[in-house]
Order: sequence, then structure tokens, then C-alpha cells
Amino acid sequence: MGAYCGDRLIGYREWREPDKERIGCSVSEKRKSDIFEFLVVSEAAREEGAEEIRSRFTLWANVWRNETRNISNVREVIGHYAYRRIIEMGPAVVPYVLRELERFPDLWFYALRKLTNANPVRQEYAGNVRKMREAWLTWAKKNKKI
Amino acid sequence: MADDFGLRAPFPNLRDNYKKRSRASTRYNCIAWAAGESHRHWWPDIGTDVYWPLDLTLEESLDCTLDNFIQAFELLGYECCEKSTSREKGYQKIAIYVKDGKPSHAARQLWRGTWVSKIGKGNVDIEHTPAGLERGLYGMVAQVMKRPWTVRNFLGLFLLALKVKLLGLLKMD
Repeated sequence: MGAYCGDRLIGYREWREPDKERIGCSVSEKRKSDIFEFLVVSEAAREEGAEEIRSRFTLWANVWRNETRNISNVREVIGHYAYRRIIEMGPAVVPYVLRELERFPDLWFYALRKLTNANPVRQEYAGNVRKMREAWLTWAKKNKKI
Repeated sequence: MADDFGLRAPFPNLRDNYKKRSRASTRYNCIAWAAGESHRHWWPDIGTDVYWPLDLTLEESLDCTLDNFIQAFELLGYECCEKSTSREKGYQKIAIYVKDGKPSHAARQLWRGTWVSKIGKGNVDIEHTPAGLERGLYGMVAQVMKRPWTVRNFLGLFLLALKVKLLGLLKMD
């Protein structure tokens, strides 16, 4: 059991001790129960948030794939509204983009650059989806993103 | 004929007058295919998302023009010619499509005079008439270019077609 503080998963003990220090007494059974309830609720909220990100990503990714498969103009492809929606979801969507890239190669590279501020692709592999995908998946494993 | 590849709506002129030549792929786009490649995406842009044979300034990459495409195909030995898509003995042609003043697509002529295209970034290669892709998503043919057929050109494109066919058979991405 735990809850997230920023991006860090913290356990019950970490919550109890600072709390004890702050209020200057041991945590009552009632307070423990409140904390426990808070942790359960916040973890459920976190899971719900992750599920929502996943489903929103899946929705926009399908729209983008279907509506851009006949387009070669890369600026149109990465400027598509569904692709923009995915970028607007922020860094939380990165693991889903990487898993999608792993599952099926496509032009996710601009979004990954925008979301991570990284670019592991060497200039000589420009446009080469297979090589760019390899570079990003290696980067993702090295940085524990998937 | 079932519209398996979703081509009827974006290309109303195509009707059913096309033949699929490969399975759908995201490995390359129409410009790469017209240039004789099947392993990367070509588009006039800077950065690593796409390949372009010419060095571009930021302004040139933002303002993608027909001239960008003409210069790139000139590097491959093509020259601008009259806007005829019929077969000319001894010459291979490519056609550049323009929509709303911006290049949108390129198609390539085979030695026997038929035309082939890779549709977009993620669809199939098809055999079609140049007019078949007009008045739709790609606009109209704005420029035709030609180069002499040489043994090298012929062999290069034959090997390219063979490679794509084998990749399709092996079901590789």
C-alpha cells in the first residue's frame, strides 16, 4: 500500500512519521484509519488517471493513424490535431507512445522529442523509421521509460 | 471491389481503377518511392524526422515549395519536361502533385508506361493512372520530370520492387 508524492511512491510509514513529528504526538487509531483511507483513495485515483491517459492516448492515436495514413507531408502529419492532443497530454503519455512505437513503427519521433527533450536519433538515420525506432527503444530502456 | 485501403473517399477519381502492389507500410512515403527508395521517408525538412537530399535553411523547410522537389529530383538525373504523362520511349518519368500551392505527392512511371505510387506515410503501393489520384487529397499533377532509362536505373528499380515484394512476403516491418 502506498501513495504518490509527485512521481515518488511513498509508503504508510513515510506518511506516519513526519505527521507524528508535525503534530507532536503519536498517530491515533482514527488518524491511521484516515491516512489509510486517503492512501487507498489516492492510489485508486492514480490508477484511474493512468487508465484515463491510456484510453485518451489510444483514442487520439487511432484517429491520427487513420486520418494521416494517406498523407506524406510530415508537417501535416505531425501538425494533425490528434497528434497535438497527444503532445498536450505531457510527459505522462511517454510510456504509452513508446509502447505503441514498439508495437507498430510510425512517425512518433517528433512527439517523443517534444515530450522528453531528448533525441537519440543520429542524423544519418533521418527518415529511417526502423533505425529511429531502434534508437528510441534503446533510449527508453536505458532511461527506464518502458 | 471492396475499399480495403480506404482510397475511395480521398481519391474519388481512382474509383476501382488501381492495383495493389504491396502491403501497407510505414517504412517509406511516396517521395521516397518515386525516388527509388523503400527504407526511409523523404520530405523537405530539417532535423531527423525525414530525409532530404538537399541542405535546407529553416525558411526553406517551413516554406515547402515545388522548387524544393524539382531540385531534389534533378539530383537523381531528372529534368523538367512538358506535362505529359504518356510513355516516352527511352525515358522514365515522375509526376509531382500539388494541392493548394504545396507539393503533396509524387508518382513514378514504370518502364512499360504504367504509373505507381506509395500512398502516404502508411498505406499501400498501387498501380494507377496519373489522373486517378487527381482532384482529391493530392490535388493535381503540377510538374512532370523525366530522365533517360539506363541499365543502372532499371536494375536499381527492379531490385527495389523485388525487395518490397520479399519484405511483404516475409511480413517484416
